[in-house]
Amino acid sequence: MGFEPRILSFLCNWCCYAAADSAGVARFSYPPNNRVIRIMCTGRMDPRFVVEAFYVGSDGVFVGG
Amino acid sequence: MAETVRRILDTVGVKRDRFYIDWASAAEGPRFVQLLTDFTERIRNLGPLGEAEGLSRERLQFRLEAARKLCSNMQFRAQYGNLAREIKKLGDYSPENIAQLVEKKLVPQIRKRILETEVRELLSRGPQSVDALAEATGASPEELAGILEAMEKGKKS
Repeated sequence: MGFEPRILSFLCNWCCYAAADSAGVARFSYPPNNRVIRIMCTGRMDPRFVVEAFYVGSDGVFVGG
Repeated sequence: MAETVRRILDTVGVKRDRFYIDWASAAEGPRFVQLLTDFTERIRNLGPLGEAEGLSRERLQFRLEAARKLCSNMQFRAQYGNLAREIKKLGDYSPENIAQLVEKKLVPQIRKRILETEVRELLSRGPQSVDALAEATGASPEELAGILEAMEKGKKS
């Protein structure tokens, strides 16, 4: 063991980003492995973003709308 | 978007489970925590990128580079946009319908363009046997023959 995955998350400003915020305020704990990129809407997502994320070495990509 | 990404990942040999899309509204903090926890656990089980796939670092980088080129290709992006418009016109957003259309319209393009980029790159490093090309790109001999033929034709004209 000892493997800590690096996960890149793309979160929508109005949905998951706010959900992450409220989870923080409510003091829920969740894994510290993810790095968040805020997008203004999930419609902004592009296949290019995901491929680029893997190219620079993410182990997983999460999109939260 | 999601279906296209999954198809691209399939083509370059990355497990599609590494990509996950889901929804949680602003009020659903606990749901978001649950989704992220589950996803992190799944990736932890898959191991580092390339391990579950059986691909070396260089091979993976090489294949993802081809995928990157595909995603920046203007012709491909136009086709992707046109398909989105077509789906909108049909008004059928069910996963089955989208999967079927992507399969029909985009998958041949994805495979062709990615394989062609890879073949070009490999050949620019020096002569290669067809077996070596097939091994590096995961293409079938027929697909390779088609690509090499197209490249040959392009040279003549």
